[in-house]
Amino acid sequence: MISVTDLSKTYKGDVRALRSVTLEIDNGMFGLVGPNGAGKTTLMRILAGLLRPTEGEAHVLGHDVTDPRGKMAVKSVLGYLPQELGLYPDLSGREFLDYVAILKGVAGKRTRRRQIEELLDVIGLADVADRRLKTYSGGMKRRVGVAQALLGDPQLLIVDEPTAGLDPEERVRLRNLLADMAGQRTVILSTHIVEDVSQTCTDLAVLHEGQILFRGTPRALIEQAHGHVWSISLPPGERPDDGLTVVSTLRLDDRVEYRVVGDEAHHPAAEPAAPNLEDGYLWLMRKNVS
Amino acid sequence: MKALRQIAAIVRTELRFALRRGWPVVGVAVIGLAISAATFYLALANMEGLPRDSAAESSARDLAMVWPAFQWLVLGVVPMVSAPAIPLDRQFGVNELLHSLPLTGAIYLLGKVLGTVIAVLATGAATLALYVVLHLVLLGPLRTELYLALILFSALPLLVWAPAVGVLAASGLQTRRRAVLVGTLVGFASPLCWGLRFLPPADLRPFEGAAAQLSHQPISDLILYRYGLLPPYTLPPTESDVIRTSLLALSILLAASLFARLQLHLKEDFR
Repeated sequence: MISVTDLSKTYKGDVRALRSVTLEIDNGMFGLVGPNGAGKTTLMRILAGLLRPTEGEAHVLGHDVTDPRGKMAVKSVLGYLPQELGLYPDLSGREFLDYVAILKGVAGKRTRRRQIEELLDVIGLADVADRRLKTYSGGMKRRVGVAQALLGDPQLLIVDEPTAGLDPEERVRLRNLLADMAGQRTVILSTHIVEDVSQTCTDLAVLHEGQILFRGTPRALIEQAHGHVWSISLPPGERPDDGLTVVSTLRLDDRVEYRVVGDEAHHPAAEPAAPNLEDGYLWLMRKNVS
Repeated sequence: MKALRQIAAIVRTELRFALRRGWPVVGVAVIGLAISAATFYLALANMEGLPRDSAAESSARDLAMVWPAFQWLVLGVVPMVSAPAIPLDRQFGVNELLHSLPLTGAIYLLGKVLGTVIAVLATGAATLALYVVLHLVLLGPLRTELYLALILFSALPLLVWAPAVGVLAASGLQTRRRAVLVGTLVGFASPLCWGLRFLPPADLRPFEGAAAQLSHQPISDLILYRYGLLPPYTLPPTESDVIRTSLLALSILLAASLFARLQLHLKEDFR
């Protein structure tokens, strides 16, 4: 469905955002994970036909996104949520969605209205749909962004940091919505929040400094951290070894429980723990970055 | 069909913005109302002692005096209030989303220009309707032929040209503030396009000649001349003056369109 070969992108000032990335993405929910500045947004923008690569090829649904015609063909079947979505403050939520629907080519007033009403229900903004967008909170604006991406029933959905700025309840709802959308279509979810990927994606890639560090299933990434995750319970004031990466900290009444990843935990209180996706991600980054 | 629907959607949205943000609508309405007020003030002052049936003739003369001011106000103000149409999309950050849609730069540009022009024309029409009603009530019937000629051949081209050039000239900018600045510069430069007759009057010194050229506009002067309303100190324009001005205005509009298209292409990879 999506095929990327030796894709590179260099910005002005010799800033290399992507370095010979090769990737195949099938139907379903695909997670693109990596720290800020890893090149995720650049890759997403190239796949969406918004940015030209410096080198390499990218085919989306059989269309070459480096070619003007192919780019337009991709945009016709694309739902895109940019990382920083701007909205027209002078339009209402409903007016904005109607505007985007027409520009996307959703024909027929009735079809448009039906789709917009359904999406407003799904994102929970039906009651405030006639209010101007400038009165919406950050989370509400993000939900409008998700709704516009889903308009026109796109075959390819690219969402860049969709849960940024959402409260926990909204995040869960949005994750579930995106997971429901993935079926016969491709959903690419770019995020630096590993939990978003662990809950929804069946396939993922980890990007770091413009290169793919890992490509596979979440389970395979978790497996990589097997034997490298520990739980250490320490009195307050004491810290685990300097050589370990602390994944999480839980403060109890008289103890502090650390979850750590590393080559070896020498502390006598260290107990092996079953890794999760976040551990797998941190272990991978630790292995490759240090 | 899809392209037409997209253009119509952009035009409709631009009209909404014009009404809600107020810039072009307020700008044109203020010009229209100011010129109407000046005309009525002069007409009512000059009508004292005149029979009512000569009011139409008298108000036409007053309109002829005020008309150059209307033209230069339109050319000076309308590009400034129209210019932010495209830069505001960038300032609000909507352009990233627009580029992800199956929308070409030409359609986007056409929709933006048409929407702004229609907003300006609609406001102009509303102000004109108010003027006509007040004229009928206060001064009686007006000279329909003269008004039609001035509206169709003088006001209409300016009310299309000024917002279009304003939008196109500022199309590559990032913020409303910069757009207003560029629109203001366009407004200052517009008289050089619309006002110059290219042939300095022989009986005037250079400075006065240039001032005379800029204070009157060939197209409206020709209309006023044909209706015997051109002030006696103004040299009547020739048809070739009118043709040259029209061709220059069209050329500038075309050049601005190409410039805007190039700007969108270079800055945003619009296709």
